[in-house]
Amino acid sequence: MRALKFRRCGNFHESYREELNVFETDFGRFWVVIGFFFVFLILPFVATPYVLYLVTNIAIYAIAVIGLNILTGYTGQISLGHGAFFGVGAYAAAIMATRFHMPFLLSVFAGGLITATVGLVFGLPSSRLKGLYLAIATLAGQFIIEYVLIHWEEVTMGTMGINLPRPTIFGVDVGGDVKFYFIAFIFLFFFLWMAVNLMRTRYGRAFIAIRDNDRAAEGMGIPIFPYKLLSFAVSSFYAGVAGALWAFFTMTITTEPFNLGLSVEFIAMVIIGGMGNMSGAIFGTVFISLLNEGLRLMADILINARIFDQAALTMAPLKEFAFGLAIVLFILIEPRGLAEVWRIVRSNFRLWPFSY
Amino acid sequence: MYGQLIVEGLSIGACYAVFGIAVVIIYKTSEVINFAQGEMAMISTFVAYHILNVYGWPFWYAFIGALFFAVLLGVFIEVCFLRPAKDPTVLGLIVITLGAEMLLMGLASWKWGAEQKDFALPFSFHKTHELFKGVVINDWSIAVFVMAAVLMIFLYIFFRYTKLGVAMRATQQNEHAARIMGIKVERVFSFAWGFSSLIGALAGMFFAARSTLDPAYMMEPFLRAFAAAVLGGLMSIPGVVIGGGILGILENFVGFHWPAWKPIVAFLVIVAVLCIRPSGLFARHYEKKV
Amino acid sequence: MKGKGRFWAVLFTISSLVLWTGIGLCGAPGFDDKEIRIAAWGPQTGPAAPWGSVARAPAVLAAMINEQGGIHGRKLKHFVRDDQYNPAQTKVVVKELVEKEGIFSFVCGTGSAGGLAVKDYLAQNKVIWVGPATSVKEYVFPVQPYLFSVYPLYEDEGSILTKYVIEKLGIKEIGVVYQNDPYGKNGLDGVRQRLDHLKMKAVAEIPVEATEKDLSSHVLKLKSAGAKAVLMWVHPTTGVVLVKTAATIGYKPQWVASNTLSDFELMNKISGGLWEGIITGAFMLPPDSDDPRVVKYREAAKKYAPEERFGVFFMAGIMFTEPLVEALKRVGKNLSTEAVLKALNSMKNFQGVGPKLTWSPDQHQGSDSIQIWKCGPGGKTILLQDWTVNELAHWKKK
Repeated sequence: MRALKFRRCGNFHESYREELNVFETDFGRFWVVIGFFFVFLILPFVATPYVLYLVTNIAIYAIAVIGLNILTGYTGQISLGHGAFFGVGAYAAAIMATRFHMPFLLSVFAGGLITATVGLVFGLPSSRLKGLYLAIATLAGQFIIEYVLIHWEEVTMGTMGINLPRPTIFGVDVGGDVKFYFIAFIFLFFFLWMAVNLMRTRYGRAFIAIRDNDRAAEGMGIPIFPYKLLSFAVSSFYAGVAGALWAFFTMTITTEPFNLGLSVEFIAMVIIGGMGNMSGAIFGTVFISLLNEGLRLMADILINARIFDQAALTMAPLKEFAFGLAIVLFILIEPRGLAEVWRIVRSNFRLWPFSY
Repeated sequence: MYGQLIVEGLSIGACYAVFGIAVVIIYKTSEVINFAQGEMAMISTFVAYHILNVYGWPFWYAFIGALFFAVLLGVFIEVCFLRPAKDPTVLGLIVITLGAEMLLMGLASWKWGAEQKDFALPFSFHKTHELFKGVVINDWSIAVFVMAAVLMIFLYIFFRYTKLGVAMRATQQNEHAARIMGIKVERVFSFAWGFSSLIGALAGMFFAARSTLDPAYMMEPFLRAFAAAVLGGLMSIPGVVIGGGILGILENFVGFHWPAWKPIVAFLVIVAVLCIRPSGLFARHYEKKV
Repeated sequence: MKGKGRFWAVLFTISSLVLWTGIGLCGAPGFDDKEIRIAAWGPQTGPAAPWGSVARAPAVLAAMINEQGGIHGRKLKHFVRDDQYNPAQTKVVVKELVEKEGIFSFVCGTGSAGGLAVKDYLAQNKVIWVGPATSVKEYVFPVQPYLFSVYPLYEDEGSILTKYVIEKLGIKEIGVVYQNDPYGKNGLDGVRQRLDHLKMKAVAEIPVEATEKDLSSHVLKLKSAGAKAVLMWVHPTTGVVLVKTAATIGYKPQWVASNTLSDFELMNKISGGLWEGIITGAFMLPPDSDDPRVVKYREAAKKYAPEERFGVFFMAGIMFTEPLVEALKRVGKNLSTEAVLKALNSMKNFQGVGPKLTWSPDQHQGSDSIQIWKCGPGGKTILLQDWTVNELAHWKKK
């Protein structure tokens, strides 16, 4: 057995291959095992359903944010329409499950595929547009998709919403808070693993080359447009799968949640987590979700503690204020996101307690 | 009936255009789409409402006060939120303005509550004048047309003949070169934000008089104005005015014949413009060199 | 760089500590010997926030009851939660309340999508829900054992209002503007039901999105179709824009609106006085009425919630809670969910400030009638027609 590597205080790579390693040290592997242990064997048995619900939601959102990170963080294409893609996945899965009575796994997969197709269509403008203009195009896409979801009533049931059946895998019921928690995390880990490895392949490196300098990438022989489209497709596939899971998780879907607000939240998660960093996607999702929930709890406590007080009653909107302020301050103080913060914290502890 | 549709379309279009000008001015100088534009106008209108209803001052005092506040707010946001951003990316700037939008919305609902308020201008929409047989125009629309025209002429002179206007154009074309030529670029940015906020507040007050005043009332008009700006190319001020007019008439015609399609017209226009002619109908596109 | 690292390290540690304290929540029953916990969700922030006052109002009723010594010795405790009109958030706040605080019964509850998202969860946890602050057919058809609806159906309202317009006002050219969601469509169904019955047709049926602010084309279409009366099932802001726009082109039909636009004091103010003369449906006594029950609540609201405007929505919050309080009173000292369910299921012709309520084990749609109001000068309420039943109501024919 080779020697285990723990703390490193410098760059000791011996070949270019090593730079692509997922885990820099065995310490990282060790932490992943601990993480698995915690997520699958401890948390579901100690947490209340309310906490489990929150955590499951975070896991589902994280899948979508990983997808958006592939598009925005790694390929450099801006999408302000991922909330709508999430919704397309949710509706596609719901329709597959109710109209065609597809089993759970198949409808989630179908939801992903259909969303990937839709994403491909909305990725078409990226052939000519860059940066801001692409953001505008996807913003328009957000509203067009929302409109279609509401008005294509024969298929989406319009504003009535769709009730989903309980999810089952090979006849085993996996609905309900606790069981679906496991499903969500299995999906999250699988898709995280896929994404991390995608970035180590030819395709992933092509994405990064396009982000860093598209003309140089073209000069190196990377066909830009197909790769951009591929990135759109992969990214919306992730969003679609996340949406499909979310639909099976909440059991009733209507069009309200898939609005611009959700798209903005996804973008905020990617940026605050750290663009072009897989752990950043997770950090960002956790941070924004907890910030939202924390602010809400605080506002509710304020409303209820002194319910008939002018000050307390009108405190609730300040939650929005605090959320906006947090996002702005975060980008101003640490534009590279939580992943960078994590790096700084780690490097601070690296030589601890023997730092000079 | 069609004559009336065109009049109504043009008047709402002119209102979109004025608000679109606010979007364009910021984009022209600093290449940022300001998603907080609507909420900046909303807060300024609320300030006018506050001065009118709490202090009980006459309308024109409130009007001037709100415009003054709008300028300060624009400068404040530029100085405190955008200037400190380190090596900003397009996406980073978008998210900053989105954050500012939420922040302003929260502030307004905290200060004034979420319930709708009434905000009236001295130009009443009850008072109508007959243009041709069966086609009427009201004072509100006349005021909007006058405002749009005055603003156009002023901006034309401003960008053409004043030092500050030329400095703004120079900053947009090449920030570094402008800096080398001795233009204080930071000051130009602050000025642009203040100025744009002022124009936005003007349009915001007109929108509020047409519907109601509440913290969320500027979201839809902002998106429409934005569509008008994209139609005009995001760079050109005559472009956005013509874009606003086209959008207003188009929306009204679609709304008359197929009401269910009206909400989506603006976005289909955006997509169509971006697919066919990304630089808009009227703007020249500056191709960035490597 | 070093200082920054330490700053983040400290922040990181603190936030993870805060995170852990949140996990230790545990469930609780909905009542004990001292108090009964009730709760409502409603949007306190965001675009829908004007509806939020419904959720806050039950606290006034609770305070009133507690001052008189509570219900059989138990005090009422009311919780309000903000769900931002987002069903995903509704689920979160309801779970949090049920599992952390322990809730005996929910009251009010604004927003149809949010209600649909949580109704099964509430039933699974045996939490009663009385008086949803919106009318949704799926709440009551088929019967949900734990859900008791007070709100008259929009469909019945549409039918009754159309009948009034045709028979009392003698107007045959009817136009409808409806919001493109279940609320608007149910209203439209009611209008159609009545018109079909009379073998007539509406001259125009125009859908509108809640967010639209420019409605001149809609109004012109109504005008060119020759509608002399226009019925609206729309958002209050949309209603104001419609009326203002009609004024700009000199179009003056008889406007008739749903009960959600019956807050005359507010509507008259935000429409700049144009609301005067508009006829609406209504699901309770006017907030400015001299009825002793209303006066009692108005005084209580002034005392316990002086900063709240005693408008239709605020008073509705009290109205939706009345039947629950009545049931709790009837049950007596031995409180249990089953006992209260039984009391609610046997409620017959109970009337507070709202319509007469009758529930039975196989019928949970409490009321079938509305009042018809007209907005007088300065937003005063004029009662045109007292409680009226829709004799065509499809759900009563068995």
